[in-house]
Parts: sequence; C-alpha cells; structure tokens
Amino acid sequence: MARWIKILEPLSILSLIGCGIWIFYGTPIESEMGFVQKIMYLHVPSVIVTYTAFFVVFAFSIAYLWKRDIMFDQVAKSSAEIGEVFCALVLITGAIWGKPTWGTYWVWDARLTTTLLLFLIFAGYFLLRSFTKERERAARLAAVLGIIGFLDIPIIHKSVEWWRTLHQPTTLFKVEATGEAKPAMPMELLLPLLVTMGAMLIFYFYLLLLRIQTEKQYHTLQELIANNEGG
Amino acid sequence: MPMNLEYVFTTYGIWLVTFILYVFIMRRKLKTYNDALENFEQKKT
Repeated sequence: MARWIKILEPLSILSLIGCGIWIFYGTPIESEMGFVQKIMYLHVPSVIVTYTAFFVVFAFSIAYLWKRDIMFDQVAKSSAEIGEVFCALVLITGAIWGKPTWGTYWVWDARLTTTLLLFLIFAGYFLLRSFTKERERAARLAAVLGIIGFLDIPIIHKSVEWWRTLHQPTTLFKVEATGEAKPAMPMELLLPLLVTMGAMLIFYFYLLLLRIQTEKQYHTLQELIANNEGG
Repeated sequence: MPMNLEYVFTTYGIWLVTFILYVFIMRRKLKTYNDALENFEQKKT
C-alpha cells in the first residue's frame, strides 16, 4: 500500500496542476456565464468523487455485514470521511457558483436539499461511530447507515428530472428523444471536464489509501495498548 | 459581461486549502502512529 501511495501522490498532484493550467489557459470562456463557469471544472468532478466515495462506503459496508472482516469497515470509514469532505466542498462551491448565476447562495431546491441531506446523513454516520463505544457494534450500525445514506445518491441524481428545480439539468450527457445520449456541452468544454474528473479520481484513490493506512496503524496501536493493559 | 473573478478564485482557494490541510493532518497522524508503533516494538525488545 505504501508503494501505491508513493506512486499516486506525485501523479495526482501533477495531474491536478496540469488540469488547473488547462482550465485557466486552454479552455474557452463560456458565452452565457463567462469566467465564472470555470467553477464547473471543480464542482462537477467533486460531485463525481462524492458519488464514488459513498459508493465505496456502500459496497464495503455490505461486504462488512456479510463477512464481518474489520478491514472492510476500515475502508468504508476511510471513504466516508473523504466523501464527506468532498460533499461539503460540493455544497460550498455550488453555493458560490449560485450567487453570480442565480443571484443567491442557496435555495431550498430539490437538488441542493437532497445533497445537504446526504451530507447530514454522513455527519450522522460519524456521530454514530463516536457515540458507540464497542467497536463491532459501531461498525455494524455504521454499515447499515452507510448503505441507507448511499440510497440518497440516485435521488440526488434524478432530482433535476423528477422535480422542477433551479439547478441545471444533467451536465455531461443528455438523452435525446430518440434515446441516444449526446454531450450536453461543446467538446472544448467537455474534454477538460472529463480529464479533470479522471485527475480528481486519482487524487481520491491517493487520499483513500493514505486514510486506510492511517486507520490500520491506529487500529494496530489500539490493539497493542489493549493487550499491554490486559497482560 | 462581469468577470466575477472573486467567485472563481474563492472557490479554487477553498478547495486547495482544504486538501492541503487534509493531507498535512493525515500525514502527521500517520507519522505519529508509526512512531508510536516503533516505540512499542523497541520497548518489547
């Protein structure tokens, strides 16, 4: 794992710097929103990482409930923490983007409210862990909440279609009446967005490995202390 | 069309500072745990 961290650290930093240069110097300024549209290159990839991180929580929570291996819980907990940080950034960057485009930082719109709900569910996930003293019980309860929390993501994604919202419809691809999926924006804007998503996913995997390594060492240390006190 | 530079740079600034702090804290935590584990091993031997 330490080897992968060493590989992913420079790779993610370099790819994010490269994307930053491309976004500010190589992409055209969008005609309707102007320069403020550059926020999209940070906001949308952060959304994708949030979805990925909580999907990892969902998958590893199911694995934990099935196998009861503490390793699965460590991965779920680590990914939940990173997902929560990205989710907070999605809400903040979205609010800042909202001010110049909608004229307000916040509206109780379906997309924004369900995203806030996701953030609050995972805040509850960490409260639950900190309030439950017994490790096995904390892991079990957190796994159940992690699975339930993930179910909010399809609702967030579909909210712009199910309800009338101020938030724009799907950013990447739109489905035509013929059923064909077509890019929702010109290629000059879509390509840097997709590359930034890739770079941010690399950065997520770097953070995940770093966090898992920290969690493992903490767990080993706790076991050593417990054994030392017991024996 | 207004440039709205302040919104863009605030957004990128917040994102950057968050992760610089997150990585810094996580690396420090990892180093502390590694050192503590090493101390435990040394005490054993």
